[in-house]
Amino acid sequence: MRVSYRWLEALLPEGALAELPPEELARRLTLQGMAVDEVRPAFAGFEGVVLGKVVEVVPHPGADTLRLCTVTAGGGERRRVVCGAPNVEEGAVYGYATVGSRLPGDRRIGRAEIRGVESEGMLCSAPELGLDALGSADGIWRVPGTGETDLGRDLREALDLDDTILDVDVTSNRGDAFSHLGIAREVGAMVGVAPSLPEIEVTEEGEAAGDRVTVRIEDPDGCPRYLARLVDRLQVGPAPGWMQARLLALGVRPVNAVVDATNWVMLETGQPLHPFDFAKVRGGEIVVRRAVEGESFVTLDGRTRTLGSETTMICDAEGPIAVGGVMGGLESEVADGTRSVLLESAWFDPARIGRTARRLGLVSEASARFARGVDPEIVDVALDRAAGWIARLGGGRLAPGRAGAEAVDRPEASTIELRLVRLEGLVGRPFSPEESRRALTRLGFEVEERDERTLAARVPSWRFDVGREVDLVEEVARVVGYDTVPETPLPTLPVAPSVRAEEAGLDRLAQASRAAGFDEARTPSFVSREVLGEATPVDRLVEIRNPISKAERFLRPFVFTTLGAAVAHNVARGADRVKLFEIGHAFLLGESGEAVDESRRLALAAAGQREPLHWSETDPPAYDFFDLKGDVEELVARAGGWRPEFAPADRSWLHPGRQAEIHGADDEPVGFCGELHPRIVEEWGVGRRLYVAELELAPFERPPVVGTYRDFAREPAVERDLALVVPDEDHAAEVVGAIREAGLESLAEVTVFDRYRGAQLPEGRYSLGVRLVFQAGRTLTDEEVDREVDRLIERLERERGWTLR
Amino acid sequence: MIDELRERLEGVRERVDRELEAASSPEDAEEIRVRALGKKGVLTAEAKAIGSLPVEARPEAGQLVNRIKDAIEEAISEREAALAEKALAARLESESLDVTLPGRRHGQGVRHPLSIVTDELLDIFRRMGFTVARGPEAEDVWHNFEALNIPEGHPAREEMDTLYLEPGGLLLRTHTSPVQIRVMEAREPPVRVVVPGRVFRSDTPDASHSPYFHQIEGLWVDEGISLAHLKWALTEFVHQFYGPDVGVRFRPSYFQFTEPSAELDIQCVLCGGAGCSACKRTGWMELLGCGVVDPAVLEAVGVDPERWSGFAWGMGVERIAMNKYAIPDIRLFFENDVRFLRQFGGGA
Repeated sequence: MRVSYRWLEALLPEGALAELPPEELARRLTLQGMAVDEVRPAFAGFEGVVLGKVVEVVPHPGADTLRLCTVTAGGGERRRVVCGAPNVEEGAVYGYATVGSRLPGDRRIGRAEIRGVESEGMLCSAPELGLDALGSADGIWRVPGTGETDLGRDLREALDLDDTILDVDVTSNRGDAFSHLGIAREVGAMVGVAPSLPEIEVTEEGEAAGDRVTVRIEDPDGCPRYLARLVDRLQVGPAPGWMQARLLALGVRPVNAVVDATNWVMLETGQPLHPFDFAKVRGGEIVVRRAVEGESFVTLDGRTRTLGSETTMICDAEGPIAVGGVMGGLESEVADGTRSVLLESAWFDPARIGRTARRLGLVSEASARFARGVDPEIVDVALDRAAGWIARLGGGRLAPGRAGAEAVDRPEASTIELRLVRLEGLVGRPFSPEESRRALTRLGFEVEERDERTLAARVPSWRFDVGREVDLVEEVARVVGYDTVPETPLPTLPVAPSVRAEEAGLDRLAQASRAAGFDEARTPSFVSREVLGEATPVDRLVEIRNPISKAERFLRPFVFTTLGAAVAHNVARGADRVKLFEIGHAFLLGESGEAVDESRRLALAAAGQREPLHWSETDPPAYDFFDLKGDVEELVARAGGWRPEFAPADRSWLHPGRQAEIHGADDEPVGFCGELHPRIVEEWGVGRRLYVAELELAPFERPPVVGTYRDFAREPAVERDLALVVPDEDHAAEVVGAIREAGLESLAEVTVFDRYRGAQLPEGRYSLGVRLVFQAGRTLTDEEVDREVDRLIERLERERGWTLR
Repeated sequence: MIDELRERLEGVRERVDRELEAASSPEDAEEIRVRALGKKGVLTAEAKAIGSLPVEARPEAGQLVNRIKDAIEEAISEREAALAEKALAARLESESLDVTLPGRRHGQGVRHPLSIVTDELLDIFRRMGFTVARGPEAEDVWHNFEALNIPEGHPAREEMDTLYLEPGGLLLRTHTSPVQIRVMEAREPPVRVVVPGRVFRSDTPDASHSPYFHQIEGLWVDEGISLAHLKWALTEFVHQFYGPDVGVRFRPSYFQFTEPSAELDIQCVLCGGAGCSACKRTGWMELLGCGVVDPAVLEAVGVDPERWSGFAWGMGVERIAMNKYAIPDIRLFFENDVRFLRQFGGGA
């Protein structure tokens, strides 16, 4: 909220800010919890501009579009000023930039000859004075609210422009601080004084408001208190220049004296007010009721709004005239022709206003304040002040008394006990009863001592955020200043906490992934419905109800989806080798559709060359399935210490012939790897084969498997190579497994060294070269090894139909 | 007869010398050796022939043959060694490389800058006695709001710009604070955890906003813990992370789940507190929000606030990383261009 330093000065006792120039005040407010984001001059700098009256206008002899004006700035002197503005009028008061004056943008005004006539200064438009919103650039600005007695006054002084604006970041709990009065109270707590509202003198006459208007509250939950006053015989014109200028500096656009007066009082007291054109209030009656769900209404911005039952409507005898606490209606808006104003001041339920404003997408100055809460005791005070201003500025007649109703009794001010032992315990420093009491008293609490170590504080009406002892603890702490709180070391733990196995596992996994050449990535969490083309598991995607992007409104079902896209992105930008990994969360809808199945996983994605480009390699090999499988084996060995098994799989988003299910140490499935389906690769526009793998983290979240020592034979090993012809459906792993399980004595190792498919072999069969390594604690003879091998061959042929090539 | 033999042998020797002269490799020298001294070599034949000489001539002939044989052997060996030396020199010459050509690297991967910063931060807090805890990103309303003293309709709830999920009652966590609740539901105090994780807000992406970003949250609940402990722990953290001379200030603020609450400002890392555009000329930068755990939060998880108290804080990892590495745009973190990722020395 923007705060005027001059306004604070006016609300506080004289001299209260003597030691607190704007920058220092900003610093102190910040340290008290009212963070000041910026301190800046309210208006652009200019000097030498006074209020001057045009006493005569005659045509310029040398130009049809120019005129010669005789200007007086009080006293007897007359000056001649050439003016090109079409709207210059005899008798009007303008900002007169005298010879030697300086306008914003360092524009200096001197004597100038214009078409043969000397001009002694110039008459200013509002934008020329840096007061853009107060008047157009097409004409000079008639300074409202000024007269004969003001002539010659410096414009800055007359409009009170030498002000400083503090941008205060008011926290959402402090609705009371959304006003100058509220900020002045905070300043008062700082220096030990209390602010007060300046008097407005008004006289009342005519029939009492209560006899002319009836108010009926049918929605006491939404609006327990509704007051109104009447001002008649108004001439609605512009508010005085000083009022307009200050509103402008505070970010509120001046409209007319009635609207400006309500805004003025709102900025002063925090109470939003609404003026109705009383002539448009049918039946002289106000009914406060709940909106009917789906009811529509045209607000004063000209838009038709559909309302919900959380909304409180302000109605006259025939229908709605305002959305309570949010925005008035177009029909009852105060305009230049308004002669009589019904001014509303009410208290609305914060939660209901918040819901209404959200539903309508309408955050107004009023709704923002009501939603945070407004002092229930300021409703009548603010009403009287605004009505007084309206009567004064519009030359109107204020009807005696207030119309209105109070549907429920206002709550009694609560009294909260503060135990000093609690205060000291939570803040961590000693407090005397005097110090605590002084802090609270300065904030407007009425404090009594219950006993030596307990205070009882009566909460002021505007501090509706304070309801518990701990709230008082905070109030005391911030007024004495957090800088008075010592820094106390944390208690030393008897044993330093160890790193949890899960965390250590994650670290190993990340490290092993990097060792295998994968760069770590952090990819988006959102995907589109088509992320995996036709293979997308659309039934199990978790949808965001209020997504930022309509397209990407689902949570990623697998980490490899967004990770693969990051690889694609790099390939598209010309990277010749990309290997990325990510440890992140993936989401699938549970089978029932009710729960979300969320898991943390490791994903790998790679495309391009196997190795970084090197000058010695003219035709570098591309990364392929077995590179991926090798990387998976490598990182599982490093991070988990177990050996993964791979089996053919059939995931629809992977190449049907180039994918595997990965099994863990206990043969449980732990993930998959493979080449991304060419259709998806094409949709993603990768232009290269893309390999992905995804692994669950559970198998790594325990200490890695570490074996114990096993003796290894020193005697030379005996090797035998076999080429077996086997049917295509018998995979290599099956062949190796069958050999291992054949119960050969001294067989130490079986490895595949060759695989051949070709013309010399029968259709549907391939040849697999396996090397058998025999080893025993003694020297083996060729004869005994050959005997073993013969037995094996005989058995494989008999049991599996595999033959020697 | 001896003279004849001598002449013949001298002839052999001279021929060998000539041949050696002409030899260009150790292999040539070996051939010469075989021809002269091998089983079928000239000198071997001469030595055999000694047996057919008269007995009295044999000793001298024998000596003669042996002398010549030794001389030839020596000459060959010498020449052979010289040739070997020469051959090696030639090979080394031919094998010389341009060592300025690039080496062959296998390309170990790097850590993401957010991980580098996260690890650094976690390390500091681990040393203070915190352990790492984690929680789900798809949260329920209870853990994300209710238990943290943010009831329905509270403005603070609206300010969070929450993304809600289709199975009703679930949302994407707006902060890492729900993990505080999960940890305290699972175990009795004392609780000392630090929580890294991804959080979500419905912010349209731009240079300083991303709908997903990362936070690190901390919670220490024990008997007798106060604002003074919070001040020590977080000041200590700032001094370890930013350096012992960086100024720190705590100023009152407001969060639903802490009271008293504070913002921790540090002296602007860019201007050192002199005032610049990054710190809006205040000399201070907002680093994190913190506070004493609100009793309502403790009550929500069945912890007696009269006995236990604690403090908590939360901070954004991206902003810290952006300051540390002068990264101008938050979106770079999630684009994962390898030319970006490899800039931060995140090797193994």
